[in-house]
Amino acid sequence: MEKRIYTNNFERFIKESADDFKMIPSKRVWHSIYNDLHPSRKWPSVLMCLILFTGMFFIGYENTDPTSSLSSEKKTTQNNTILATLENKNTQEVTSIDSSKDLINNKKNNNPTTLSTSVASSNKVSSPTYSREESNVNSKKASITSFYVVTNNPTKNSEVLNSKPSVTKVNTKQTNASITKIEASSENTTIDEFITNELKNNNGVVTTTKNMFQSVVTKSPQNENKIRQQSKKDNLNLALQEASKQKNAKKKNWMKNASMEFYATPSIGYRTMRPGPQYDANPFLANTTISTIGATNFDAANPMKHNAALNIETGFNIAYATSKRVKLKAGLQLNLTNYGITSNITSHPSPTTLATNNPTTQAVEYSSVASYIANNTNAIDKIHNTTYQLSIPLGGYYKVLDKARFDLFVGGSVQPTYVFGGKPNVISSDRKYYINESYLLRRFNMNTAAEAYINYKVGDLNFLAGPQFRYQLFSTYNKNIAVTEKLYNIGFKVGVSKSF
Amino acid sequence: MTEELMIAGCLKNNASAQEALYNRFSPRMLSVCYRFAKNREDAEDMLQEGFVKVYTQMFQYRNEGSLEGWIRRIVVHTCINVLKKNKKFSDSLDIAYANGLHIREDMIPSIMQAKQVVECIRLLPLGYRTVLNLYAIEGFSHKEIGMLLDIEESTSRSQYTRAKAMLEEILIRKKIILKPKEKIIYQAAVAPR
Repeated sequence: MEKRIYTNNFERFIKESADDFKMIPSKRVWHSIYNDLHPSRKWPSVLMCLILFTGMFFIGYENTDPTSSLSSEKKTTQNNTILATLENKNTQEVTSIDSSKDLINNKKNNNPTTLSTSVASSNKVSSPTYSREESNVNSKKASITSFYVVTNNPTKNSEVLNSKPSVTKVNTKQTNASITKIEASSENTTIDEFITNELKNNNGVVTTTKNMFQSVVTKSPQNENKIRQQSKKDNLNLALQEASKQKNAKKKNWMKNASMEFYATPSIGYRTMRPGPQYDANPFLANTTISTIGATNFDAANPMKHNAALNIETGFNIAYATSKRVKLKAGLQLNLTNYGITSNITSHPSPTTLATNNPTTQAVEYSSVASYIANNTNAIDKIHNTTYQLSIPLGGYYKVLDKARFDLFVGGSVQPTYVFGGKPNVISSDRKYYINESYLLRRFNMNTAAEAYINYKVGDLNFLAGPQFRYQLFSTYNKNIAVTEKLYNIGFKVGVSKSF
Repeated sequence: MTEELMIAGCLKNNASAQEALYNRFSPRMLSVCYRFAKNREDAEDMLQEGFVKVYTQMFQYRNEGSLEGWIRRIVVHTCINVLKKNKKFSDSLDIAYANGLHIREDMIPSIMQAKQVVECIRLLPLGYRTVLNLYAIEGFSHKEIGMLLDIEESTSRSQYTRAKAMLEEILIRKKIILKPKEKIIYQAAVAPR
């Protein structure tokens, strides 16, 4: 009978204890239930994803559109202005043919880019030289007796002729020079190679521009100055036309000021740790059932063996220049935060308690099962406090230094952050164990970053490199946990950016 | 929001009524799931599945018993179904008898620490824990447990006996309850001479 009474008491004790126990589920559970019950309401998030992807596609498309080709076209114009000079000892006759009008018309009609060459055809000529410089007629009295008109394929930036040229010779009236028209066909030959070959074959002066065909022929040295002046005028006109086009393009397309950056920042990450703002030791001291070693001496870092570890963040920004010196940016970034802990892995689960700073009772504790022994002088096992974060950096840069090849920027950002995973090891109230439960993580956090970097220009690309400091504004753990841990990183950012 | 309004709202698939119902009962139901589950994540998955069943089967509720009891019944059945899908669980029901554990008749629990008790329950092997949860806490009979877990009624009884003995041992070791001798010594020590 006595046994039965005890048994009933024991069962009642178990039942009452179990019934008194309540746990607050994470928000994820309700969101999942909600999505199960109302599948149609998933559409807003699907729509947002579609908008995001469409936006990214649009940006990518814009990046390869006329805006970028305009600047490269200018560059190509300069690069393709090839002056090849040839010293011709015996001839003094120069034939002049100006076909720039035709070329402009061709350009307007989107006809294939025309490359013009003028070649002196004398047989008594020294070896040819040519250079990539602005058009400049050789002062030597070259006798140009024939022309080569090379019709390039429509690719604007390419210096590759997709064809083996076919040649047609036409005699000119003024000089009896032969004009040769070369149409693009099907073998890959660079313009340089082609011109070099032609120079070797024909021993002539070759002048090429992409947008303008200019060949001036004079019969006497006195006309040389006129030729030069005419050449300068034409070049000036050409430059003005290009500048005007660029200006118009800027007005039409605001994205000219925008650029996209891709970057990665390896860093060293560590943490600050202190009691939560509402932590009160008294309830723990009054509780006789738990160890209160850590209640009063909340210098949490002392008994624990923590060390900094390698972190990394990577992402992309879209930067917009609001003025010559100021850029605003927004983007998307993935962060891996991490620091090391030395502990002992327990061979079995051990119940422990977790101090909380509940504002109402000041004494609420979670009871949880520990994973690792924290305060052990002989600890040898390495574990890591890790979080995986997705953040949206919003900030700006200021150009401190503006040089021809590089710029120096300083900047900062705030980063609303979503913590989508991680392995937190929260110290127990008596500082003896680590509790490894992912639900203890704070899901939404905020980071700040300050950085300085050098922007080195190489062609269309800008390479970035510089130091960065990143600090987490709120605790890694949720607000109920009495330990406030804030992460920080010191790293070195490297990246590349390109204007749209 | 009253229970009647919540039920009516849930029957109309009203989101705010569903959320109110969830907010009211989910903390207690999560603790139920937690006693059955391996860890908190599994418990939350069980809770999610259980509440979806609650909402979708709300039309079956006849208002004869308490709403909480009805929800709890669904959640417990969900937990059992989840556990039965796990092979480890069926193996755990065949654990051999644990010798050397005896019920002490004069033992009275002295410290009420609900959370610690629950954690101690979770330290039990899965089969023991399930039977103990169902019998001692949820109030199922051994016959019902046998049907629920596809085991003999006698197996359920023996599992429960072993579970209780093991739990007692754990509670003593963790000093949540005291051994009888210690209690006597303690009382003798503090008694005025």
